[in-house]
Amino acid sequence: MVLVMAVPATASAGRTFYGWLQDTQVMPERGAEIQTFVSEENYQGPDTTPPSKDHNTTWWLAPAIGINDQLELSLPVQFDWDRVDGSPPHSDFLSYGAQLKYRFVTADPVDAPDFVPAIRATVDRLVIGKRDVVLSEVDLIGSYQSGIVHAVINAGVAGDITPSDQHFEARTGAGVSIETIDDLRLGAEVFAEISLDSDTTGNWVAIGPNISWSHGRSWLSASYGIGIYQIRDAPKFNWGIAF
Amino acid sequence: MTIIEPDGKPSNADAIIYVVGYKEPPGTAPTEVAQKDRKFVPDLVAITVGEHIQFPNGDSFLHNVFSQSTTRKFDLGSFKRGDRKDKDFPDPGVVDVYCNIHPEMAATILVLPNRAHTHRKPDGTYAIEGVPPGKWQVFAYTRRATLPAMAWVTVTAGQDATVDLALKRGGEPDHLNKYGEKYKDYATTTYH
Repeated sequence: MVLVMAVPATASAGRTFYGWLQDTQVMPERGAEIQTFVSEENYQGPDTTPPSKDHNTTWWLAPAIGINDQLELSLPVQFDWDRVDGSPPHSDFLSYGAQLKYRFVTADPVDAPDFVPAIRATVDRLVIGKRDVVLSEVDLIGSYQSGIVHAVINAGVAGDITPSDQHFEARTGAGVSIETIDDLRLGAEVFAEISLDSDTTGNWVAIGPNISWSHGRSWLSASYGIGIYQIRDAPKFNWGIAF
Repeated sequence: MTIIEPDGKPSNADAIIYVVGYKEPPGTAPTEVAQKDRKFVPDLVAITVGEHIQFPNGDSFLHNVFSQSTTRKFDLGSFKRGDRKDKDFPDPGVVDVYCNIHPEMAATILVLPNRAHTHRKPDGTYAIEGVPPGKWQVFAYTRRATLPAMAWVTVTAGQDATVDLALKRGGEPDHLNKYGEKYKDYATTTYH
């Protein structure tokens, strides 16, 4: 059970204006960054008696490189702190893996169309438990830019696959980010993780404000997701620095 | 035309002379700005709005090409010997181009509204053909020019018009890297 609760910890990152949402930005060819995020899923789970709520914190860290001007590769490792009510908390080195993000159109700000599609695929090996779980995720990402307004929509499927079992869930959301002063952006987003099978204990939906800021070679983004279904809150903080 | 260096001596530096006041469609052949021996070659080019520039890397190590100019911001990433990147220039203006790895590399691209532009010859003369009749502004620009030189010219069908222009050069201005920071000493490292 603990393993099932741990798997939904989102293994997603990359340069973004949003907290939980993927964006279509990629690095230029041979660009290199360290990217990281910390996320929390607090008091997650169905209302049952007695309560069995999960508190999860994930630290994701990856070097990322631009394979070319439209394809980015990340090699993440993921650490996890998890506590289910009634059980002692535990920390784990959760997984390692690879992530590819492909932007279907040029990244040139002048030549790029207003609507930009991208796809992201990840494969991670879970190194706790039976060590036979492969975590995978595929996301379709669309972004739209009009003046100072940037919007994004995500539609993805994540799964944990073992030789004997599979669990899949949809990860979807949408958000908007508006440029304010210099490189400071403010907006809002909604994000959901919804099971595609009978195990719905990890389902949740949150909505909340987001903020992003870039300065020179570094960038950050964050959102504070306020739970509207099966979660109390879900803050997430992303950060990256190019070198 | 004449160019004067900061010490008052005449210069044989390259310069571009161009006429503005009317528009022409772009040509089809791309202009080439190579990266060779840690220099952009040539380091001063003029193109017509809508034309492309190709940036081939002729060195045995990586180069980057980027611009933070408001006319055309771009970052071509880093690419190796033999690779070339292409960039279009849809708006008129001045584009300063640098390499994020080698701070000594700098070039200037003039994106002009028509094809009436040429380089200064070694003897200081220049000739621009095909300028339609009318009264136009003629500019001259060289890298590190403190200001472009400008004069008015009246072109009459079937007749030559002569304009003499003079430019003053300043020092090479410092520039920042693509992150808006000063270059570090290690930025001159040769990455293969």
